[in-house]
Amino acid sequence: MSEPDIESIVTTQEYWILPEKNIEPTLTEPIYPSGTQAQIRDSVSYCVPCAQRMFDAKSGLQVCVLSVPKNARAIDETDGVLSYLAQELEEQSLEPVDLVKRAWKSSEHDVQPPSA
Amino acid sequence: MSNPPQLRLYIDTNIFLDHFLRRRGKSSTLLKDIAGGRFDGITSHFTLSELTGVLKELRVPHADINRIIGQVQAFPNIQIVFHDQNMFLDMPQNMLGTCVQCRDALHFMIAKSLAVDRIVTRDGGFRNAVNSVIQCVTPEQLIP
Repeated sequence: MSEPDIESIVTTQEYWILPEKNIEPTLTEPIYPSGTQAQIRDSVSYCVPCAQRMFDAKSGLQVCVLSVPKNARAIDETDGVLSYLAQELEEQSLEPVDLVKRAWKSSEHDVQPPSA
Repeated sequence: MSNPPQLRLYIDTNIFLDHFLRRRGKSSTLLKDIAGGRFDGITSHFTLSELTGVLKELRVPHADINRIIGQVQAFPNIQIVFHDQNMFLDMPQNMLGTCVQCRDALHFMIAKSLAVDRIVTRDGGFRNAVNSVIQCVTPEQLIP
């Protein structure tokens, strides 16, 4: 069976079918003005994400989704990963919803250089 | 006889933060239930940006932010959807048709376009704005 003949594949997920093609990134390697590049590459989990166009049977739309390998351990590995901050946030009566709003406000008012 | 399709859920940013902070409630359980196939999960690439913004605000080291965002991308059975031009074309009309604010409209347009059954959020403002179009629930309402 040739490659185009197998374009219709029903996955184990109910609505997501027809992985058509990967969209290869066409951007050239970015140039980082600081040491950021080395920092990112040092991260053990860093990988170049890939976008994939799929047909979504429930909505009837062609959608673009992030295509990365799934890993069930990722949930356990991030469970409580910021729990060391929980007490401090609780003392400030900051809920996760407030954190999102605060980050938005900061992005509007502060322009800070990236921390190391 | 085939099983009925699972509920399709849009997962808001604050639910992931609950999980990272190990908050009381059932956000982590919900993410695990989605991974196990009890529900179908959707979020948007915009959620990853909001998470990154919050983690930066909390001064989490950049290497840790990269690792956490990479791990969120790997959560099983949660599709991370990009906006397309049609969603932006419809956005003004959808903002007029609801009380949704501009940034929440970015979540809402993915949820509406992808025909989700519920939005899972703890954001009362978001809920009030869009609940008449898509029902908003907390994890505890889904998993009593």
